[in-house]
Amino acid sequence: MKDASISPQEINAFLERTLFNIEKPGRYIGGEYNQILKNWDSTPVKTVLAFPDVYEIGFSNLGLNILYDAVNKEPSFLAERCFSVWKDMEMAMRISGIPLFSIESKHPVHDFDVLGISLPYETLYTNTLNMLELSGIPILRTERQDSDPLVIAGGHATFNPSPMSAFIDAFVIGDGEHIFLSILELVQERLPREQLLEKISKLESVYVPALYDVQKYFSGTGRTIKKNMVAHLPPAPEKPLVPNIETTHNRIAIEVMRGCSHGCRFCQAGFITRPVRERPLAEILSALRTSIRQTGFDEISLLSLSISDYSAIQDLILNITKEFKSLKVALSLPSLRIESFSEDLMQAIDQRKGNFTLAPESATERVRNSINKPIADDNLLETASLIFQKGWTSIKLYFLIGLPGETLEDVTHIIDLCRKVKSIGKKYVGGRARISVSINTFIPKCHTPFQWAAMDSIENITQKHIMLREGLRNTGIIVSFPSLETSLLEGWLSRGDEQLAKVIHSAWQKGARFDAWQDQMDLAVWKAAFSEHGIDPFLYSHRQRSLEEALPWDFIDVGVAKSYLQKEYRLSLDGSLTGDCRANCHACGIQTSYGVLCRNLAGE
Amino acid sequence: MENIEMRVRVTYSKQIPLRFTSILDLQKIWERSCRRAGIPLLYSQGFHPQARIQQASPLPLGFCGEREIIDFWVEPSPAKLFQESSINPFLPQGLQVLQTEFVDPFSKSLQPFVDASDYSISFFDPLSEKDLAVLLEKIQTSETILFTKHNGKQYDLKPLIRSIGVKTDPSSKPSFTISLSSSPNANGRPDHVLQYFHYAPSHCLITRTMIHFLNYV
Repeated sequence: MKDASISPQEINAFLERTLFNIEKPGRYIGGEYNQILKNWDSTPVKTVLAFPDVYEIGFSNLGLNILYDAVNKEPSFLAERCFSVWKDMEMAMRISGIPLFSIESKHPVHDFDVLGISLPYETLYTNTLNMLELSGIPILRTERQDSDPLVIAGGHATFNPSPMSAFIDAFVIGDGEHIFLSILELVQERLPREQLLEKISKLESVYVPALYDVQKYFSGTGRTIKKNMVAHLPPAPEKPLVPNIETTHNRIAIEVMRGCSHGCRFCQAGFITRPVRERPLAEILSALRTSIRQTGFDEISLLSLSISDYSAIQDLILNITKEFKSLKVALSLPSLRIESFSEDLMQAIDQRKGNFTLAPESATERVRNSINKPIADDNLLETASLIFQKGWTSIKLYFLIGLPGETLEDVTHIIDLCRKVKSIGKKYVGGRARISVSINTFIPKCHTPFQWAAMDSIENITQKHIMLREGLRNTGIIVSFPSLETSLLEGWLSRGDEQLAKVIHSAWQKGARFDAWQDQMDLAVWKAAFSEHGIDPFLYSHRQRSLEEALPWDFIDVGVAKSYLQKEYRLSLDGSLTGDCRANCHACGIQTSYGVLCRNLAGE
Repeated sequence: MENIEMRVRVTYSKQIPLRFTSILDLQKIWERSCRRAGIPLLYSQGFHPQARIQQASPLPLGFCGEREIIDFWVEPSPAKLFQESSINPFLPQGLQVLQTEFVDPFSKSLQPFVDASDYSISFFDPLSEKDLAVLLEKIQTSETILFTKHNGKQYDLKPLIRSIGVKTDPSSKPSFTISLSSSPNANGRPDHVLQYFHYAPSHCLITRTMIHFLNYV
């Protein structure tokens, strides 16, 4: 529908007349400090990296920023960015016939050779289709021509690529930095589309749906697509972008470690990002020094699935505090594991600002054992005491409800536990104690031991919500419940198969957009899309699979053996624990799969 | 007593790339730019320390500014004086410091002394000199120029207009100039004047060319 020959000058002219009447116009301008704008005409391979949500959300996406840095370092390649446009802007663009454009040079997305899409979660699927259509790129990959950009996707949601396989030319599974560059090298050969895809499909860790026979895999003769794993974390971007408007994460984000050794059975990230790889302390500090100088940010965020497991966490925090305090740079930590919390660690954290986030997930030992996240109540309460004693006034607690085997009684314990934490807070800091509780619904994810499990019924979840609301009323505890509808949709999509492509397509045609936004997602639209194709969505979310069942994502090899996940699932049923694999290897398959010794990768 | 703080009055321009950056976001941009430049800003006391920055007459979203004025309180650091050469390399596109001067750190804030602002308005689809003359006449002959704000209150812009004119420059297309009171009690906005005469502000670029102060001591 779009005229792909529209020039950046025309797009700029459209912007200068339109943005005055558009909500948050700063989203569409670019020009941030440290933005890279390479010469369009003299750079052979042009990539646009897309995040299918608005600028403020996508701006800080780590994957996108790593690729932006890596691609632009190569003299023959350039990378620009684009994001989903909000509904008012979409309407203005459609009325004026303006295609989706990059925020750097304002070239139409269609003018790039490659469109690289970041898909960290499933609720971005309809926005992805919308971006393709606004770019004038055929939605279905089978309809694309040589002149269309190559559409590549990566990110955690692509560990089950089947639901989006009708729309994406190639999926990069796992750590994408090096493979993405290899793909761009092939693009530079300027081959016809079919030949290019043929070559790309030969790269390890790349799934090209047009050239991969999933049935062959299931009949036992096809190869798997093995996730890419980099043994050493790529260097942190030296010049992170600095936004001109408020974004969700206005800070320096440095990846301290990738992977997690705990094996919490509900946690997809924990299984698909194995093994643990740590960034050396000196490298982190050096990257922070450079980043602060290059960005001027006043906050540092240490990214990791479990920051307190970082071998040198105490030294890291002490060094950050010592070196950057005079610059008035604050440190923000993600949630800390309760069992690895120590007084020394608290002492090292010099600032008494912000929340302390703890994620007990459940309130009873039985359920915690079944999910393999054992924390004694006493331990949690001691940690809470310590936090308040040391001067913090605010604790955030994360819980999951609907976990396999969870009863209503287990949920009542959440209420008791929250009340106890509140009274500890009152004891130490009086009325200033602030407890906020986030109650999330458990969604079984692929490549985890719970990939066979059924989601809890809507009736049960609703009843649990009511119980929690009632039980925590008038306690001064702030409770938030992410919408059950959003969780349901995620449940329907995350373990989907190729059939879901037509449902996603229909939902998008019926107007589904911004499904990750509670106030935008309309489950009725999705129900209508499922019904149009005679598919029962609950078969994806609420069906208990047998351990022998072939699963749509089985051909994606994350390095953890399916037999290990089956074993872990069985252990969960008897509430048996599997300890931290740094202390004792449980032979999950990673070491043999990649020919590495995990202990050599972590804590260098 | 030796000064433990310095106040720098900065004249700067805010151009098209930052046209849609709000005053709050601009404050953050200044803070980050100073940190990059190694200029030590002073912060307020308290639980949430804020950089001590005071903008005189914040510019509405969508406007450019040729000579905007902002005050910074900085630590006295001779090695890193706040001056054009030390800050400009660290500013994002669209922001440029034109002039800096040290002022008494304890003198009053500028905002209450803002008296008027001059604006230059250029239309994306340029108006002919004749059309501009018609617009000029309409403004001059209107008894009132009413604008209804978001809160439903109406205000009359006519008494706030200090002067209007058409600027013709052989090197560029003719533009419209207007000077409006912009005191805290009576702040006239040029986009509101345009709207009264059915010219959409989205079809023009409004640039504040000068802020005038009254009796500032």
